[in-house]
Amino acid sequence: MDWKKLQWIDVRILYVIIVVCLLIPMFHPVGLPVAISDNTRLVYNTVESVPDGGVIWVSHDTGPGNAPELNPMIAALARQAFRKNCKIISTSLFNQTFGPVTTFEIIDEVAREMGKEYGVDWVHLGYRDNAWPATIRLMIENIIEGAINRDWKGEPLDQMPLMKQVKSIKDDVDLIFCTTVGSPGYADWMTYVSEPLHIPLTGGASLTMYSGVQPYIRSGQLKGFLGGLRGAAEYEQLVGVAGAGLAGMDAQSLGHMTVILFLVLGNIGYFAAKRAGKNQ
Amino acid sequence: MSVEQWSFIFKTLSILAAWSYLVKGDNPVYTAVEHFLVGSATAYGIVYTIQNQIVPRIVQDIIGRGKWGYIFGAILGLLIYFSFVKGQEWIARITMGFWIGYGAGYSLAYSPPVFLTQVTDSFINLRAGDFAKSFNNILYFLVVVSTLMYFAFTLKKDKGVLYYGSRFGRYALMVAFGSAYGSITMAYLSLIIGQLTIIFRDTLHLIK
Amino acid sequence: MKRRLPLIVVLVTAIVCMALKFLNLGERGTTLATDLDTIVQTSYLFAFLFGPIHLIRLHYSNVQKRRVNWAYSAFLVGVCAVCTVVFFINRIEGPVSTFIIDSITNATDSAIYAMLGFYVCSAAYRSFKLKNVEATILLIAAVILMLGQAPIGDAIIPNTSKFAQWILDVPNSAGMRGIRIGASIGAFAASIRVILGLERSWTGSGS
Repeated sequence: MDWKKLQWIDVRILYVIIVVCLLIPMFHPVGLPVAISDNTRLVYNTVESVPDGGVIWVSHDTGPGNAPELNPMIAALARQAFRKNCKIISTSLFNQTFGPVTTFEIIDEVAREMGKEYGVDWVHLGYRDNAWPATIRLMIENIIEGAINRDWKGEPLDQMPLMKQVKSIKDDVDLIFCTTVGSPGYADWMTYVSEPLHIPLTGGASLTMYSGVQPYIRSGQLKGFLGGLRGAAEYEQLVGVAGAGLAGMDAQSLGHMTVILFLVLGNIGYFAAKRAGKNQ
Repeated sequence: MSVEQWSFIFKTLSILAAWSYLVKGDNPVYTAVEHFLVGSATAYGIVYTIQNQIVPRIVQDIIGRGKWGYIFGAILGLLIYFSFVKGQEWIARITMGFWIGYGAGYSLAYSPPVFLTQVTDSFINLRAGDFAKSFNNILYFLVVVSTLMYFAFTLKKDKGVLYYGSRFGRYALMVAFGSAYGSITMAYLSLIIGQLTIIFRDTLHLIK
Repeated sequence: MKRRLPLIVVLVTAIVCMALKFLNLGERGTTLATDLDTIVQTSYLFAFLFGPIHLIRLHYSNVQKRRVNWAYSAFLVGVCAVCTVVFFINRIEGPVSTFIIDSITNATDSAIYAMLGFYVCSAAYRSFKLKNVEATILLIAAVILMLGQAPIGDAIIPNTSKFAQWILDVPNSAGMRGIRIGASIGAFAASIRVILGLERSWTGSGS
């Protein structure tokens, strides 16, 4: 066999292989156990340590691209928070088209299921024009002023019962939970909100950024952080509900094995070509 | 058929149109959806900002509560459009200068506590009691220092501690980049899984 | 004057911001800080058409000059105009707006981004070669992480996930910290250069 040819397989064949390998476990799930990491436990415990009825600020700072990884985290967090009768105020500052609608739909689905009412138990402020850190600095002092008194639908905030209790981030918010794919993200929340005000900060990052958040978890500046779909799957287990995170884990397993196979094939081809070059 | 089902059908068609790029490269279907994406997102941004932010600011704050001081901010924002007027672009730079000064000033004021915690947290107890923890702490400290040595481009690193230190730093960085690559692979596979779920579970109902 | 004024604005604004943070100016300081934040927020809001005008000008000029693929530019301008009208009439939270944004715009955005998954796979195949020591270390770390982060890793080799977590927690975290410290020092230097007017590429006149 001419091993050199392994270097020049048409990439479209590889694309088909990866799709097939991801689909097989989706049709026939194996249900491999997902071990829960200390990081995920720390996130769960941090949310659990918020007093019952406390206020959690959720910032789903992602765009449609990374949403499949991060949406399950928000759904699981909403479930854990509402179970403790915590109130949620949410923003979504990264992407203008994704922020308002999708974040609302994720939390709304859980809220309806758990009998929580919009405006009383939770409020979604949506996307805010990227005047970072001006808007968030204004909200630290007065949320309604910073949000120009409008939620994502354009409804006046001062008419909502929850906003009569929760006036400012500085005095009324117990925990910040942010998802991150870039800026604004965890670094901005840490710099302008959690560090100066000593409000605990946790959340989850796309795995594209996950290796970069590790130093902050170690220093305690982040109270644990979930990593991608795997982190979401672990968190779902702790919250006690199987969602999109766990459902994707089998496909993830076979997908990884396929990528490793591609690595091996590419290297076999590379070394075969190198050897043939030397022999000539 | 319900609105939700139509929504999934449109999502599937959008995914297939976008992924046509993988098979045929730049093609009319891909280019059309790409332009639709940009056009509709721009429109959404315009309407969202006007509906939820500009109208309340004018009607509620400036006219309703008489906060006329906000007009100063509005004028400053409007100056940016001078960049479209030939010969008067410098006026737009006043607004840019204001934003840049604001960003740089607050960044310099607020970043040090975050940064300094990272520095102080690197000076860890090297004799932590049990062997595993001590080993991890020593390794951690060495990697941080050697990585910084590697990035000290102005120093000559052809021999001695700096040579070996920066070399070790380079290998440590490779471990960091390798783990980043491993994580990124998982992230991107998750995104494909997300799209396949829309097609095969939500639209075609082939997966439970 | 035309060159200096923007630089003076940068310097003065930055000094005011830092003074507001570091000096205790009492009630007046708090009011000034809030006013400054409100001015920035309002100025951003009123500059919101800057991007769209640029975009439409570019595509309108493509159509006018019949450049390559001008038909797509016309399509974009048309979509933007029609969607703006629809979103205004239906409001952004209305069912039609939500349908367009959720089912087409966000779905397309997400699908385009997901294509990176395919490119990562082809990069693994085409570019990830064991050419030297550095590449070998990088590849070994990547494979361990890939195995460790998917449940199959533990099924094949027990405790792979723990080892992967150790790599993330210790060598990776330390390496990333080194990068962060270096980058933060760089960011400080860049901010100071901008404030002092040494870095003025944003004015269009170079450093």
